[in-house]
Amino acid sequence: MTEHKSLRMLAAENPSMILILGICPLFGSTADVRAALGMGCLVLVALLASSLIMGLLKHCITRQFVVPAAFLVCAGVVSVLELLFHAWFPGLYQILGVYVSVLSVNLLLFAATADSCEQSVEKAISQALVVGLIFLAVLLSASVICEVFGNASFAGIEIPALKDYKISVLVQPGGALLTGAFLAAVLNAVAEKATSSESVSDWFASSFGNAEKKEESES
Amino acid sequence: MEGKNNGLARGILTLILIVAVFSGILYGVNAYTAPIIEWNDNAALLAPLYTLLPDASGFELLYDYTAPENSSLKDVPSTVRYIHAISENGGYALQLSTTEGFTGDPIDLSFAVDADGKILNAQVDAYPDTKDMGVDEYPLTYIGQDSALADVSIVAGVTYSSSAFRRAVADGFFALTENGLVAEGYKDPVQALTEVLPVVFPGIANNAGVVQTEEIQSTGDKFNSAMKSTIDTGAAFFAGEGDDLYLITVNAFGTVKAYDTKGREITDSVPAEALEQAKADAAASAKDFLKKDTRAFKKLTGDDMELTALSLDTFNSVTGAYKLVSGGNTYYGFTSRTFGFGDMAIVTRYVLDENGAIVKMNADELILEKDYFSNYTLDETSYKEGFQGITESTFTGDETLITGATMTSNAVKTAVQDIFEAFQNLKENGGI
Repeated sequence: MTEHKSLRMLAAENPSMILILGICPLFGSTADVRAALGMGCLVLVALLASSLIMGLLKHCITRQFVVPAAFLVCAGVVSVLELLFHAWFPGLYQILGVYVSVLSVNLLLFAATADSCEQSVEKAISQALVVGLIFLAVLLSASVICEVFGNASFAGIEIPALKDYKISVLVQPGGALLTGAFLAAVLNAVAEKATSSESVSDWFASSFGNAEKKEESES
Repeated sequence: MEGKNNGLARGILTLILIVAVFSGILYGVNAYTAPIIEWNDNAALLAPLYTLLPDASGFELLYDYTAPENSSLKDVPSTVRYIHAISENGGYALQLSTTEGFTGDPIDLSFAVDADGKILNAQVDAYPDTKDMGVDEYPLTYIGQDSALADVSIVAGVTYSSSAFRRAVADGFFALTENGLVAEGYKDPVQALTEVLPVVFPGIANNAGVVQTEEIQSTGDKFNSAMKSTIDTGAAFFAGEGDDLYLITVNAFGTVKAYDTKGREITDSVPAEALEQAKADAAASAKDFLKKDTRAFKKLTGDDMELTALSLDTFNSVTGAYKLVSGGNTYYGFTSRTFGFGDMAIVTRYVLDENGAIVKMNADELILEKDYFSNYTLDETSYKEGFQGITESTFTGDETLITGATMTSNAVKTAVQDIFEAFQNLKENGGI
C-alpha cells in the first residue's frame, strides 16, 4: 500500500516527466511560450479548484465513490474554466483549441483530484500547487526550447539570428515528445542525484519547503 | 449492513449534489460568457476587414458561407466566405478562400469595393504557398479595378497562386454583380476574348487556367494576333475590328471554331476565308507527331499494329487519335499533351479497348526537371500498370497521384479526363 501510494505520489508530483502522464497539453502548447503559459496556468487553476472541492467533499464520499466524484469534479471545473478561458483569452483559446476541453479527462488532473480525498484540504491544495507549478515549469521549459529552436521566435517575437537554423520538427507534436523526453532525462538525472535514497516525491516536497510531507514520507 | 447502505446513499447523494451544483455554476458562467464569446467571435471575423478598411465604423453581414440559406444573395461562388456591407459608403467587403494555388492549401484573401464597384483595398489574409507572389504588394495592384479586372496581371513564375488570387477576386465580383449589388465593369474586347480562350480551348491553358502561348506569324492579314500553344495543342487567332472582335481556335487535328467576346460559338457567321487562313497558319506552325506516335503505339501494342489517324473536334489536350489494329483486335490510341512542372509538356499515351477501358498507358517522361527532382524515385512500371482497366466511370483521379509531384499528377489527371472525352467524341461522331 505504501509502495502503491508512493508511486501515485510520484505520478502526481512529476507526472509528465516520470509516468508521461497527462502530456496531452504538451502537444498543443509547446510551439508557443504564451500558449504554454496559458495552458500551464489553466492546469494549475484546475488542479487547485478540483483539489479544493474534493478535499471539502472527502467526508461525504465513501471510497467506492471517489473515482466517479473525481471525474464529475474534473469535468465540471474544466468546463467552467473553459468557458471563462474562451471568453477572456480568445486568442489563446484559438491556439489551444481542443486541448483545453481534453483537460477534463487529463489523468494528471484526475490523479491529483482523486488523491485530495485522502488528505486534509490544506495538504491537498499544497500538493496541487506543487504539481501544477511543476507542470507549468515543464510546459514552459519545453515551449521555450521548441519555440526558440523550432520557430526562431520567443513569445511570438522573431529571433532573426536563428531564422536560418530552424528545427521545424520541434514545433510539431513529435518535437514536443522529443523535448519532453529530453527534459525528463535531465530532470530524472538531477532528481536521482539529489535524492539518492529518498524518493523523488520527497525531494520535490523538500524543494518546495513542504516539510510536512517530508516528515510523513520518512515516518 | 446499515452503515454500508448509509455510505451508498450518501455517496449517491453527493454525486447528485456535485452534478446539480456544477449545472447551476455552468448555467451562470455560460450566461455570463456567451455574449462575450459571441462578441469575440464577431471581432475575430471582422478583424481582417478592419485591417482592410481601418476607418470603417461597422459592417453588416450579408452572406455567410456556413448558412447561405439565411442570405438573400444567390449564386455565390464557393470561394466567397463572407460578404459584408460597409456602413459608410454603400460598398461591400468580401472575405474569400481559394484552394487553387500552387500547393492546394487555402489562400485566404479579402477585398473591399465602393458603391461604384471599384476596389478600395485588397489583402492576403493567409498564404500557405512556398512561392511568394508578393503577398504585400500584389493585392495592391487591384486597387481601383472594377469587375473587369482589366489592368491586373499574373505574377510571372507564381502563376498558379496569383491566378488563383485573381480568380477568387473575380468570383467575389461575380457574387456582387449577379445579385445587382454593383454594376459590371467594362471589358474591352481583347480582354474578353483572352478570358474566353481558356474556357473554350482548355488544352491551350495550364491547370491554373492560364493560357500558355507564343506568337506566330500569319501568312495573311486577317488577324490582329496569332498564337500557338507552347506545347503544340493548337493555335488561336484574334480577328475582327473594334468591338466586333472574335476568336478563332484551331485544335491539333485542324478543327476550326470561332467565338464572340461572350464565348458563344459563331463559326457559321465568320468569313470562311478567315477560318481557312487560321487553319493554314495553324498547320504551318504545327509539328507533325505521326511518326513519333506510331513508334510509341507500336511499342505498346506490338510491331504488327496497323495505325489509322482519326480526327477530333475536341479542344482539350489530346493531340493524336488513332485506330489501332493488332492481332485481330481493335484498339484506340490517344496522345495527350498537358502542362506539367514549369509548364513543360507531359506527353502521355493511352490505348483503350472498344469499351473505352484503358489497356495500356505510357509516358515520354513523367518526372521533368531531373535536376530539381534529383532525389525523386518513382516506380513507373507499377504507376503505369495502375491505369489498366480504368474506364471513364471508374476513374477517380487518385490513380494519377504521384507523391511530391503535384504538377505531374494534375497533368496526368487532366490527360486521362481528356482522352475519355476524346473517346466519347469519337463514339458520338461515328468514329468508333
